[in-house]
Amino acid sequence: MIVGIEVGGTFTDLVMVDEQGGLAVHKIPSTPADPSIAAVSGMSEILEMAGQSAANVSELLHGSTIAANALIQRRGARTALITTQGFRDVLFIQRQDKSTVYDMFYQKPTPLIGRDAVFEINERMDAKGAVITPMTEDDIIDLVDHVADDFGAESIAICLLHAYANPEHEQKIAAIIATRRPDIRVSLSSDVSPEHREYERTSTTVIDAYIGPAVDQYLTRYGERVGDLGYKGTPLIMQSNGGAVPLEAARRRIANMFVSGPAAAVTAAAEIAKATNTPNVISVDVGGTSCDVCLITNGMPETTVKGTAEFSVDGLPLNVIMTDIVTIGAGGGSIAHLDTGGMLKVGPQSAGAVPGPACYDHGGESFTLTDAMLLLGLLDPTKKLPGDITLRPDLSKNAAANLCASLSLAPVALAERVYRIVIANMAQALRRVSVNRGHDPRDFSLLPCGGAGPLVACALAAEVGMPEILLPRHPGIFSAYGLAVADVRIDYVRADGAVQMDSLTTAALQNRVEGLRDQASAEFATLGYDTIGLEMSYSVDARYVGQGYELRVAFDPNTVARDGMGTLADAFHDLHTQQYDHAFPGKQIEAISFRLTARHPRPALPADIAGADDAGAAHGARTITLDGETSSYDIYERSELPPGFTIDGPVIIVETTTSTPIPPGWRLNVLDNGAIKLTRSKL
Amino acid sequence: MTTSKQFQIDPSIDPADFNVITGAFKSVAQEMQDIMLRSAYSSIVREAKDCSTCVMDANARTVAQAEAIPMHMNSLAAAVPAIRARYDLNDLSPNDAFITNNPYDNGQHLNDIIFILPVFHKDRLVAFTGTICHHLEVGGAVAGSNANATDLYQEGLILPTMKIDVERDLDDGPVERIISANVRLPNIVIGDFHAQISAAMRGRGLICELIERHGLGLIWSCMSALQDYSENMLRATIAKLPDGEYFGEDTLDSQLLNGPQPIIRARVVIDGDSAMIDMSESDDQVSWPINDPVASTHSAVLTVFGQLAGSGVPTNDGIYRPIEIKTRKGSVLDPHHPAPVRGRMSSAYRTATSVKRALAGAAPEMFSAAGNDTTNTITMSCRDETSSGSDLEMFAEIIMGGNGAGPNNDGAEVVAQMLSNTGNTPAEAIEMDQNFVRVIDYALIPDSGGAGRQRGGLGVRRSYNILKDNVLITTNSDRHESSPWGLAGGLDAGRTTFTVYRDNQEIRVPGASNIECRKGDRFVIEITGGGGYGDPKDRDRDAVRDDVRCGRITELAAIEIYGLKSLAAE
Repeated sequence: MIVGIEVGGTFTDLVMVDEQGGLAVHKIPSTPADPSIAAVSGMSEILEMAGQSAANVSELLHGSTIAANALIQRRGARTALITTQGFRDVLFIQRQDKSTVYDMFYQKPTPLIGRDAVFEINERMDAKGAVITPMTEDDIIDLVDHVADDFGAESIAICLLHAYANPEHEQKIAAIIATRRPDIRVSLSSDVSPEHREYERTSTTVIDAYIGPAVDQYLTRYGERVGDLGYKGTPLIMQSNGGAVPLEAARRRIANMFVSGPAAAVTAAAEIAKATNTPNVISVDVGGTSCDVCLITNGMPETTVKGTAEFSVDGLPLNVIMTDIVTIGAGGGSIAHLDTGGMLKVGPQSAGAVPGPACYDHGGESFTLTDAMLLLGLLDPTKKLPGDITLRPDLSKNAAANLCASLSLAPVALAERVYRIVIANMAQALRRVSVNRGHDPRDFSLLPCGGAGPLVACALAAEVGMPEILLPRHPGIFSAYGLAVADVRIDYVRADGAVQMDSLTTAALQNRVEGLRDQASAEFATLGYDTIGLEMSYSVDARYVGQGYELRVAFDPNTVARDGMGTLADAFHDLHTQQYDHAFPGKQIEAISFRLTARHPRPALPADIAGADDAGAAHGARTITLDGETSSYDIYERSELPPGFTIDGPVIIVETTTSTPIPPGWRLNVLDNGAIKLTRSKL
Repeated sequence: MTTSKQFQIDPSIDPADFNVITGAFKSVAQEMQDIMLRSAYSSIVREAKDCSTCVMDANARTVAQAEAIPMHMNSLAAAVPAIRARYDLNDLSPNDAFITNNPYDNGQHLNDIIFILPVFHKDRLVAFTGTICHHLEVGGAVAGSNANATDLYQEGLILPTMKIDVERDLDDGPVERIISANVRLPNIVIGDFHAQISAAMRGRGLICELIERHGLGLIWSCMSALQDYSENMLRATIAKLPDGEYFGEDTLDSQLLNGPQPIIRARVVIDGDSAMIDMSESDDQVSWPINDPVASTHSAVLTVFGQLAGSGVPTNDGIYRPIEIKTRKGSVLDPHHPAPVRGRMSSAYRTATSVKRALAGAAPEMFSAAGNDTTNTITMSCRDETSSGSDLEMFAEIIMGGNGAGPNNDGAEVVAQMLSNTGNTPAEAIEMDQNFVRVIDYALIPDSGGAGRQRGGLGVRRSYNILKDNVLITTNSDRHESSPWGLAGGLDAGRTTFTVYRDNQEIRVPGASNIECRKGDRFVIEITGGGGYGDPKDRDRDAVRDDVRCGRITELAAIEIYGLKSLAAE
């Protein structure tokens, strides 16, 4: 039996999967002061409901916003940074550029620590890791005592120039801290983010140091609490890369815990994609305020590469491998408004959960996407939402009045336009993850999830030209479901300086491959995993000599060993062409970072489609306006649709957490595993 | 000075169409920009983002531009009149494109190559896409910016406004080969040039897709309505300023320090929702390379209004309409051919600061004090003699000072100034790519921002150790002989200095210099911060103490300038 616990800002979601694939879900309010309280009480409740005990739980996975919350609320440890002499101000200077170009009063993102928390040490290396200025032990001892005793550091980040190429100096300082003040937590840039570019590496290391103690304590408490409950196994902790790691390994990778919820949803999407033989999908996770989009090719979600994604939390760069999710401010609560120039816009401002859309009758007066969807007939006013919310179309109409007057539109006509603008905004995000990276979205299936994802799915697929939609089971609790299927995964990197590809011999490549593999095998063995079944995928971040950003090229070491280094270079040229429409086949390539993703796969969950024997029959019909056409949509309960069930739109599929309107021109087909495939019959 | 007016979009366009289609125009420009930034070769493009992309209508008027650097605000549009003067835009074929870098054809400086591509749909000219990119090296007397140039010819290869055939003239064709043969780093320049062309081509394809989807009529009316939309937004901004005639001036550095300093003078007339900016009283053109081509003067003026409007107003033809700009031929802001212009950012910045000063005098609550407001471009190259000839290694970076303080905020420390949005280059990236220089420090300078109720942002020191002989450093900078001004009682900031330390000597050099360095030299630049806002005695006392504790101001300044009585919290 697997239990997944996903702690969000407002709710803690739990999912339990038994050996037959039977799935139970549970949702309780989060306990922000100590999120492990709700996590554990939720766990005991869901077990009790199923008449089970914690001792029978074979695997327990946990995703948490604890790291992000500690950072955003600036509730981290008293943290000092030790850096190379002359570079005290890297965190304050940042990269010098502005995120808003025309802002006369521009303010930079606020660093986690003040200038008085940064200390310099006299040392220097060059870009190849050769020591230019050695450190003296006396200097280190004096500095460590000063930082520990006078400044009172609880946590110390160490980021020295070029430490990615040679970690010796950082390790020496860490060793002296360990002997003099073993109570102080230490984060080394050469461990946390061993890659060049000092601002991004320093920022990542300081983030790790700043939230490290709080997250570490949290993990300890959580581990104790689930142990007290009777859980015997190793708790697994969800990471930003979409995989999970044992709690002990998570302590060493605090900076990898930031986006675990959205990443888990993508992991679930990838799992469904694989299980339904639909390897290429774009997942679209739409909630109340935002829309997360991720590209999945060959069943693997894209991960971040420098230059292709915002690597930041609260404006501060975080250079670790993360699931590459593009987020835009578009969700059910997004507010429609006219700007001063007279343009109708929707979002990014959101009515959020409080006061919420106007139709919730919780005091919201703004016309939101949810209000628009209610007026279009996509939501059912006769059905209460969780939290005893009755949807009131009259309040939506009231909220629309000003906009309707300014634009001379009837409420439903306004609602159509609001819906269409949101769809177009989401379509831009889809283009960013696909077209901008050299993929044609028409070769992908759309996988909608989140409470509002299915509500926009057909319109969004049509807007982007996607012919197929894969509607997973339980789209409303998708992150929690992702926990139940996530592999144990750790990413390793070796980036000890640029290497020109034509001087890189197959032996030298093999040497790096083996180094990474040994590192992974050793760690997984220590964590108690059989290293035989590990899946190892290798890649190299490379660029033409002189270019500033790298492309990530996957490679198979055996193929390269057999067919030569030329295959790696060819793969790089091809990828460059795919992404930028051109390549420079004659030019020198340099490798910057060698990477290994090691995964211990978890078995696929059996599909439980019990109760689906009842033949689907319509439960009445609703009038829905979509794409300028108003039709009567037959209503079907999703839980009643058996595998093999097929029907053509217009129909609307309803389930506990969401609905899926299917306009004319789409055909629905229930797959054996309970997922629904929607296919466009007219293009 | 009224509350902002609510404008309406052309009622014949559906409000959803307007949002969706104009959003697509912006996305096209952005996608072009992404391609250019990510596939570019040189650090000046990829880190400094010194490139811009745009979509233009069939009359080559800008519709949408990626938000890149303000100095390029009208740079693509400005090149169009010279194209029209020579070629008939109604007689183009799909393989045609235009190229220029000529400052005297309304270009910027020679490093900025402009590439404009017509977009055809069903054999009909429907739009243009354009890209402009600052190239690391364009030939001329020295590698980098030539501080000693006395005319344009010494500044590099001049590409007049030309119609080219993309099939015939590029790749191995004559135009590309001429460029390649005239620059010192052909690989990098051609790499960046290709990024520029790829971006324009991508934009062309995307516009055709939009037309297929929505129909040409709707695309054209949305282009026109978006220009009107921007015009309305800018007019609303201008209308917030009090009517009247205002004057502002600012001063450029002399060529060799302690010489005559050119003065830039702005006369600004605000009349309802339109503005007239007369720069013609500015001093005559000079013999060294800080003359400002007229297109660049216009960009600088427009940027001040762009900043006033804030983000969110699409940069396009509409924002040029409410603003009339006058210059005097033969002045430093509109020089006669062939005056040298390589360092035109200095005079462009003084144009902007003098216009801003005139307006800030009229409505100080709407403005910030002056920032460092210059570009500090450092180009370094090293020639290694080898058995097969010589190899040139080169890089350029742009280091910025502090921002001026505003009525409610301290100025940001070390940040891209108003005409640009250039990032810095990581010391680790420089040292990974080059072996002739090492960055020794990069540090905020205490007291370098002007004191005030709101403190000016601090400037920065960056020091380079030269590790080999035959290193040439060329620089372009300003504010070595003038200070960023404070506002509303805030104090001025300090001044910038560039110094070479050789043996036991300390040699101060002007902001625009060609410096021949050898192994063992150290080059130190100390960039000033921005001006303060309001009386320093009114600054929050705890903020003053925090500044002292964090080393942003000295104790002496806290006591003498801010009037702090005790460093201990009260």
